[in-house]
Amino acid sequence: MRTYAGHSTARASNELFKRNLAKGQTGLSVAFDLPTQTGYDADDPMARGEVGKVGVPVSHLGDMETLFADIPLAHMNTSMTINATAPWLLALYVAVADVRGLNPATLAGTTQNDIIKEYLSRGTYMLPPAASMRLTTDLIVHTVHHMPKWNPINICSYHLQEAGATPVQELAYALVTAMAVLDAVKARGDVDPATFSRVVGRISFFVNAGIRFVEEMCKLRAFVDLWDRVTRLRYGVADAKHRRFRYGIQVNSLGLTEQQPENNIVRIVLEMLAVTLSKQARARAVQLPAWNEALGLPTPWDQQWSLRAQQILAFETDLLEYDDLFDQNPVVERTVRDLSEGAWQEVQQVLSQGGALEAVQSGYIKQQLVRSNARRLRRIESGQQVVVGVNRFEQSEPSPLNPEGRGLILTVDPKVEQDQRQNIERWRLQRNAQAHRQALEQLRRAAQSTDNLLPHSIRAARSGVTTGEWGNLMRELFGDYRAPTGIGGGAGPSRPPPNQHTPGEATEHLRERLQNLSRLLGRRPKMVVGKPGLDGHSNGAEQIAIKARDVGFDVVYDGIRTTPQRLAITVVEEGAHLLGLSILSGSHMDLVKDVMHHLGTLEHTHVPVVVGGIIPETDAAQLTALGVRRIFTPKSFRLQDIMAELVSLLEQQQIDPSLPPSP
Amino acid sequence: MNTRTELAALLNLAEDTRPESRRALAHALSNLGPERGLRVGITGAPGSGKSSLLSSLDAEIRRLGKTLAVIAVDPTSQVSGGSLLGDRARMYRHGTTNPDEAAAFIRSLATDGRLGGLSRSVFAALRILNAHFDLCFVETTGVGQNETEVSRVVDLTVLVIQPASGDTLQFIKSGIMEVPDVIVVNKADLGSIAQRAMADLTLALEAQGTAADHPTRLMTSTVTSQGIEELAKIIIARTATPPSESQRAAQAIQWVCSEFTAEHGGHGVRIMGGKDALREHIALALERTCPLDVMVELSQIFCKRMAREFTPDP
Repeated sequence: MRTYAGHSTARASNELFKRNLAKGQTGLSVAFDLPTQTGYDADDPMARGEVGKVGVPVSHLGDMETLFADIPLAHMNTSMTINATAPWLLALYVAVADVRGLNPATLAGTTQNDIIKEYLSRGTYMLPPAASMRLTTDLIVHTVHHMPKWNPINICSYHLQEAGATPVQELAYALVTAMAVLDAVKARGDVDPATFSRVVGRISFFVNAGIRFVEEMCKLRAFVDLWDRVTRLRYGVADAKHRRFRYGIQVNSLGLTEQQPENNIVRIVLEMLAVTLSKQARARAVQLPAWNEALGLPTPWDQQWSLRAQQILAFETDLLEYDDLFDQNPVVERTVRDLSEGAWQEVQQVLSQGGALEAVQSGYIKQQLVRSNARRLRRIESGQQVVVGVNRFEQSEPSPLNPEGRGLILTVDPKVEQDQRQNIERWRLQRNAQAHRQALEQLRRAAQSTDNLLPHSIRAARSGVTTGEWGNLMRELFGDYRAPTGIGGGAGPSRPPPNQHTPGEATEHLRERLQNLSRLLGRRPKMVVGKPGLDGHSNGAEQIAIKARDVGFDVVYDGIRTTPQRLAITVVEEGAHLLGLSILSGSHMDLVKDVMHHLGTLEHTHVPVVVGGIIPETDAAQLTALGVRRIFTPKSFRLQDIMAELVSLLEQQQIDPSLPPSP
Repeated sequence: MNTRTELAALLNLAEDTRPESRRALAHALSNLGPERGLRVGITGAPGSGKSSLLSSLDAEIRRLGKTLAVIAVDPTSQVSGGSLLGDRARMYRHGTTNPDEAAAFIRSLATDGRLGGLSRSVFAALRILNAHFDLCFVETTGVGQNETEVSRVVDLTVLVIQPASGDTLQFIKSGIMEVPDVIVVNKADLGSIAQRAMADLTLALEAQGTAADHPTRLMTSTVTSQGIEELAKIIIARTATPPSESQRAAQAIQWVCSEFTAEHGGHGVRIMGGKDALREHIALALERTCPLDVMVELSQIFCKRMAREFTPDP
């Protein structure tokens, strides 16, 4: 049992870890901030506004030592949610163990290390696919030989569901990802068959459990069957132990609501059932979000509530005393069969395209996910899919919980970024310059050859190399990368699939209003949608872009990982009438300030700016004061309403361009 | 950057359909200065990697000392009238940390329902950007008849082909094999699959009887950078022999002709006296004013003639 934790500084996170361990948590799950996840130091321009926000900043060995101070690594199980920079963070962890005189073979834990789902949904990737795979397999091969208690990879289907994947898609894309990784390990040629079997045995999965918990339970049973099939038939693994489907779980966060947030604890408990009811498919590790996930960063108390839910299920109920409750149940078997067949078909489809890496680069998988997500949103908007408290049973009693947000959720002290910059500055001054230089040189040479990068990274960690220096070196050698957005150009449907969606009156009406605006403006209203900063969760922005196109906007979707300055330039070059920013990492204040500043420099402050994201009420007021015209939070789930507001905004501006921002 | 803002304002004007804006545009175009840049059309099926290729070319061309702009054209939705202009996002390959580094000026435009050739706003944008940059790329999607029209309005046409995609076959069957100046087989890092595509292409071109050196053929990869420098140099080499005035005039006539045909159809051409008469008329008018204005004038003449045709005899 563990909760995903980490924020602000290594010291603060260390204290949080020790408190959670005292409460009965049996392992650590570390959340890193976005710059650490993408290989930037706090003083890099790309890190602006992101330091310490969604997790802990770890820039060097000193930070790692502070993070795990007074925590016995040899007896700990540490799960690190780290992907693009997984080899580096593992190197830092091992370096800390080294310094303490511990044998790395005693270290237990997990590095998520699943780059493919980053390309598809989470967005914290660094390098192009081939280079990323090299790093991924370097880590796997290194741990198999030197760290037998370490889980080198968690194939994640969790994020795919959060991106809108159906159960069949979740199954299929997780499987093809695992296959891509195993094929890559094989292709290296430096792993003998016996070791390879162990590698297969070390593959574990990180799965989602949604609210339709019966289907979800069947999905997990299907995973067990399909994984056995793949490991046996495709990889010829004889040892049944190595073919077991090992997985951890986090229950669905996307479905947690901002409205009547207390309902979320019920959702969390029900979703937990999906992964615990059936013994044959029971999770090895359960991670539960907090009930107020949709409002911002949860506090320790919020995390405790989720932890208690797990403990009550495990220790108060009799569930764990029984064998599997569903074996040979005809309903379950039929559902499992249907899911398995659907998934296997999709697996073949991806394999026929050359495998997961190919299907990622071509944009195919991304498009499938975007389509599923669009369908899901349409069903919620139409009321076909019920979300209690949101599109049904919306009436609420006055809530005794503080609705204003102050004190209810954790906010990160803005001084944190400056402190971390100074921290890095001090670190650079005190390290041995020669050792540092040599270690970087050796790392560079190793990266250019086929050497495994782990040992060289560990040496680099001990020589004081920072996260940004490691990341910049990799980018320099292997290139930057921007994954397909899954929309636009030849990749997206230019009309909704037939029989799936007939435009309602509301959409037709909006299209008319947009035509009128086109006439008034002389050209079609053009909207730039972009995500400044390092936050890579692009699903919301994608759906907004598609919906905007569907009501008649010309939409320039600028993708993720762009800078405020580049966004402002885009607004100018494209002659945009409207700029939409999507920011979910909590860095909105800094980034919006920068965007407004650059728009000012380019004399384009007349272009209205709207912001979507996780924005607490207090920040919303500040953003409005900065000139932001509309703010959308997860509460505004009806895309139709958002579009109507945007169209109204433009219409108002036509009537009176000098209108002050609305309250 | 002032120039960027001014350019953008001109481009906004170029798309503007209001009468007063059209007048302002005509005025601006006549004050524009000579068109010093090279017009490069780059086309290929979706998925051929045009945008990534352009991104690599952008960096290489700037490294070789030239400036460039890109007009990225995406289709308008027939259903909603809107469009998703996603090429821009695909073009940022290199680090976005220093946007001040003079990267290519990019403008995304929707086809606005037009099936072939360059729409009015694209043509105007091309003219405007080409007065400021050494190279102006027009990126369109397609492999076929429609791209022939584009090729008559630009100075150099590059076709990008994706290996093992059916692109090669489609291209061969399309009957426009002589049209591109440069054919690029992209994704050369795919190895034998890419080589096979190039072999198929070469065979087909030879069977057609085309010259050995035209169209120029090469293989590129944005992953390994194979062929990028070569392609950039081929394009830049063309800037040494800029189009003559008569070539520009021919392009302008061609554009007005196809624009007029797109607007008013074959019947419209007949009413204007047939293709040759129309072209002569356009050539004369172009000595007086810019192609956009000529188009407006022609439309007016056409409407008057149509009205006369349908006026009942007294």
